[in-house]
Amino acid sequence: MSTIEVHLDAGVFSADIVTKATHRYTDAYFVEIKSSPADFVVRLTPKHAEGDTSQIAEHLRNDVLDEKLRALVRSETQDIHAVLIEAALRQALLPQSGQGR
Amino acid sequence: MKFAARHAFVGNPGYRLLPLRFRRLPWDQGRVLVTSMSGDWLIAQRNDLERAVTGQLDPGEPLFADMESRFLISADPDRSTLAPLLSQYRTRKDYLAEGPRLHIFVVSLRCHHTCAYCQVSRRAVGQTAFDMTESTAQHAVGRLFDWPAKTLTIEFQGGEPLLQFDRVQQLTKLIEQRNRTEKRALRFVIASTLHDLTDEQLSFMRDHGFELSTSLDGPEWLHNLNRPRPERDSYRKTVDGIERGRRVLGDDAVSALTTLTRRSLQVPKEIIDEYRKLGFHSISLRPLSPYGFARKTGARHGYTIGDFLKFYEVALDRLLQVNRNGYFLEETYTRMLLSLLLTPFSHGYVDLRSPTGAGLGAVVYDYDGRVYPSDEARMLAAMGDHSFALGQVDESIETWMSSPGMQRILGAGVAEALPTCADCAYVPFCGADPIDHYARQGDSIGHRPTSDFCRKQMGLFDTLLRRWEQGSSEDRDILEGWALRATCREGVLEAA
Repeated sequence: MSTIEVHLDAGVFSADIVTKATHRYTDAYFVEIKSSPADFVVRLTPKHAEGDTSQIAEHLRNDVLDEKLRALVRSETQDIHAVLIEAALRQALLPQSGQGR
Repeated sequence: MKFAARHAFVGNPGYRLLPLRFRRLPWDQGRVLVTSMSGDWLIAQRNDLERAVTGQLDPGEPLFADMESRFLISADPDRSTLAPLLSQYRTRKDYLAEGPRLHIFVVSLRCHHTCAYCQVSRRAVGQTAFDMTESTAQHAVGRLFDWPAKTLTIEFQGGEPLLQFDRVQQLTKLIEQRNRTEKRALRFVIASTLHDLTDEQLSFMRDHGFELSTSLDGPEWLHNLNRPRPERDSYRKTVDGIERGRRVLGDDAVSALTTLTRRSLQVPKEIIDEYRKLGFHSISLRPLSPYGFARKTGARHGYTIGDFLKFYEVALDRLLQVNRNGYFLEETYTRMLLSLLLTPFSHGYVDLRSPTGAGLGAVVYDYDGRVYPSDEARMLAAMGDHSFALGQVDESIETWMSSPGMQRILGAGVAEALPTCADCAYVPFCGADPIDHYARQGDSIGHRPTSDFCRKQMGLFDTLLRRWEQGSSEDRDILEGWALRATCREGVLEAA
């Protein structure tokens, strides 16, 4: 089974983004990530012989871009996200014992 | 009086990004499903989403208004209110407000079947040591009313609960007696094979407003193969019970669900047609669970989630065809998922909640006085693993909620905080299932890329979204009709 190797620019993608994106491939692939100042090298080795791997590198490149966009959403919204959930669920506390009617 | 200058009324022309998640559509990689934190959603071009996230949307373009109306962005943050978003979120999580509504009483482990895939550890008919005692029943009723829920669904399970019907009657009377002062809304369900159902039992059920939930796996040959009895009459006895139940309790009071074995996956159309033939208007296509006898016989009866999803596509085609031909027949889990996708409402199905429904939406009172947060936890305990036991029926519910088992569940019970789920566009509609992940993967948090639960959920959501988007207007109407149909039978999906 041949290993698929993908190079990702370390100036564009962080280690966190690369790790999150490749985590999704751990069902069907053994994943190895090596980093250098210039790039990350992701090696995906299929766990099973069957299965189409021809588009995997392209899919991973898309997934890394999507993770980068998610990271941007997260940085923009995580504060308000926490505030909104707390405000929404403030009333959803179980009553104290004996007050449960 | 002086008015403020004109510019004071113009407002901030920018916008603020609100929490959102997205997923590329498997059938069109250039587009994405974008969901808000409360489950409102739209489908957009991937590059348009990127423009939105990077602050490049023009307030004059249609996507701006679309995203604003779905609370994916907030225009003019200084003047906008997010109160409707909070209200939507609260509505979506409405099940949290009252605590457990589904209460399962396991009155006996005895059963006259020897199903190879049985999810519980049944006992032979003569082993009365596996019946719930009167003392346990009385304690359980006391605890039932310690919960705050205004609506209580009481489900009698086994084994075969008809074999211990005296205890069913005693529990029903105790609960109704206590409810004279409690004034809760009660709903009684009995999950049974319906074999040996007597007229006296039916009369009692009619007088106390029972619903019946039974198992019917498909055509006679398949049902008898899955649920063997020496007399090979399992199908005939169940169908007789269904007909008698309908005559006494009414058609709507009798429901059935299938358990799908590997053999079942080869005959989706025959299973649907059997339900149509017997006059059902709903069917539950339920994959095997990794518990009890099902685990021991998994190699013989089991299959992959991929196989199940192929089966599901064919079954859904058949269901749509039946509906197009003028006969209403829905699949209950599909209805639930569509309802989550297409309506803003909460639901009663404990497996699709976040925080998890285990212990927060359902409680199981076992025959021996032990208490569990779900039927799956009980099944694990029957297999010797008591990781999720809450305690004993004579202890307080506060003790149960602070038990190590409940803490373990809560630690892995919020889908929005789980690895991979946290970023999943489907998470507003999905649930955390820590006990299922523990049973399948040995870890209550679990590994989503190899999770059968996740594969099933993603596969079903993708299928339904694609069908809804690309299907004919007639099919779309049918799917929307299922989503909007107001029923409250979700809690019974766990039965039988």
